[in-house]
Amino acid sequence: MIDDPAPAPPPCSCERCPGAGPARCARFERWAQRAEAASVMQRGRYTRMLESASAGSPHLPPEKERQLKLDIDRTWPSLTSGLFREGGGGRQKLSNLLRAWVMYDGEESSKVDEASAPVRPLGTTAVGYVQGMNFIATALLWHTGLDEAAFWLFVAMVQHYGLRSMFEAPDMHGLKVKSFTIAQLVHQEMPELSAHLAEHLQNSLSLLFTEWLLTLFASSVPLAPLADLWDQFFEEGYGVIYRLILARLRSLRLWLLAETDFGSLVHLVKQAHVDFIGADQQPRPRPSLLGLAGSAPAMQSFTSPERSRRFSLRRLMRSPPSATKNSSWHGSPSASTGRDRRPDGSDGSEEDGDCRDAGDRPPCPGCEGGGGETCSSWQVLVTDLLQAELLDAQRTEHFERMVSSGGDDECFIGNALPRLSMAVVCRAALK
Amino acid sequence: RDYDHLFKLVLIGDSGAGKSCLLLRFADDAFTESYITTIGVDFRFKTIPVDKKTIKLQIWDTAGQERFRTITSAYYRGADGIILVYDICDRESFAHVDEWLNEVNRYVNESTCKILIGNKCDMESERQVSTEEAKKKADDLGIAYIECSAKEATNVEQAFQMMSAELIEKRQKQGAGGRSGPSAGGGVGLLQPKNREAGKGSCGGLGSCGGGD
Repeated sequence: MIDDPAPAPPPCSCERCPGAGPARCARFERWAQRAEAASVMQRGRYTRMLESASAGSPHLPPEKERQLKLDIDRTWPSLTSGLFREGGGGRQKLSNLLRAWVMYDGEESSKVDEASAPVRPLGTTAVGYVQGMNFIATALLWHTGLDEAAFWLFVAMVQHYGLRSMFEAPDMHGLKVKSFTIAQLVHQEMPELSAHLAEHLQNSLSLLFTEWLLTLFASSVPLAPLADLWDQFFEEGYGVIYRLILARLRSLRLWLLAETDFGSLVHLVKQAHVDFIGADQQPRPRPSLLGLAGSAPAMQSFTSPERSRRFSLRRLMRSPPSATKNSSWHGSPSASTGRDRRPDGSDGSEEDGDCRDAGDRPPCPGCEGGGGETCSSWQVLVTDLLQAELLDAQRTEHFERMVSSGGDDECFIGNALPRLSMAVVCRAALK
Repeated sequence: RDYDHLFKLVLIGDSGAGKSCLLLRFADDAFTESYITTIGVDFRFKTIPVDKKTIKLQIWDTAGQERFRTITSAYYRGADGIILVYDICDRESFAHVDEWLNEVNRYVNESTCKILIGNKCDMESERQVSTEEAKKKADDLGIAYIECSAKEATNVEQAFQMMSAELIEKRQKQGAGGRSGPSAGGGVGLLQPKNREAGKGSCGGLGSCGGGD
């Protein structure tokens, strides 16, 4: 669809491209260049595909269209500014982009059908619309405002950054590969934490990563830190996603090790906000978001066990694990594995008086409901702590290959933490 | 241990049937018109009193889109109860009930407690599946049926209560080697969910969690 003759500037506040003409986000242009979006772009095709979608196309039957439509308003419902304000056209553009994607994917796939029967080459089955794509597409739209430009970059991402296999039927193989790989990386980097999570998360660690891996963090991280993350993603691919997961777990490591409750662990990994304090950026979880699932008043009437759990969690936040009144809480309480590069500096004990009850500090407005613009917690993780995470590319590839060639894939999802035998195999293989 | 029983429940059903909204209503007593898409699997805990016992429910909320079944099926395993949700204003979602049950039966024991929930019963004018039809379906399948509205908080708490009571009874029977537990006599009466706005509400089709025995 051709937009208005003079397109509105993109809603992001990124630097603009130099020169005359309508304002364009310099970052988006950089991404498109890096992903070689120009190499997949075909002039006029976007408009044509949308027209045939409207006319009714076998590639976009009603049931597929239904799923897609359903998710348009369920993509960051709280994103209501800029392009996505009431009447801003953002949701229509998101719908266009996703419909065009289903058309494009279907058309490309049927070309292969005709050319290569009877054996279809791997990676050529139509992927269609899969939940998660909606978040990636929205983040792209935020930086261009133009659905056609966002569409071609999306196509380039699917083709050049391994997104296709993440979403692909029948079993989302790429997701399984990456879930397994990140679990192995956690195991290698933080063995103590890995064992702890394996025990207390009932081998459901991959559950925590699915969303991050599938949406490249777009469904969890507010737009500004997300853009910084994607700057690196377009340079190095999925490695940066792995590194951010490692950085996040490392920053929460002490709290995770001190927690054994399933619900609290999930909450810590996925939602906890960490304030990074001092020059050495000591992580300090923000209590207000650490209340357990049932923090609403309605629950408190008859859920005393839940309440006492919450209070004990608050105490935990006030005095970090294993720290006594006068000792510093920065050091690791028990044998530290992995690289510990948070030097033990200041004395945290004076913080005690300063630490108020949970609920005193507002939850993060940028993260609440998703689609916010800023969040200091994620920003520090993306801009600082991520840089300290190093990945051995060879090992990472090795882990990825292990799944690709392995048979029993049931064990990789739902049980993505390395089972003991698997971990032993890995260690042996790497020696 | 701050509870008497811990049960793992899994919410399944078509995308858009309202699984996440039911969970949000139950766990936080809140509702939103446009909930965020559930990617993969999400979960919540809630502790409730049932029949003088403290029950901790671990509730898994799964993505409804078919592609995700490869992931979500891993969570059916070990479930004590399955909550199958459809939208009473969407016949398609009701038509898929058999498919969902077949899928889930590949992973769980036949005796796993199952319940069918017809959600959005506040939208009577857009109803496409009658209470009678759904009730009959549930009877044929040997599972309990209840109509809920996450929006108006109708029968949501009751659905979870109902399932918990059934699970307690089941567990007590197992624990007591077949003998009924001390509270089993009064249990059935407590199973009957109360319609919060019985006069006004159009939601019906209540039943206890049968399990086909």
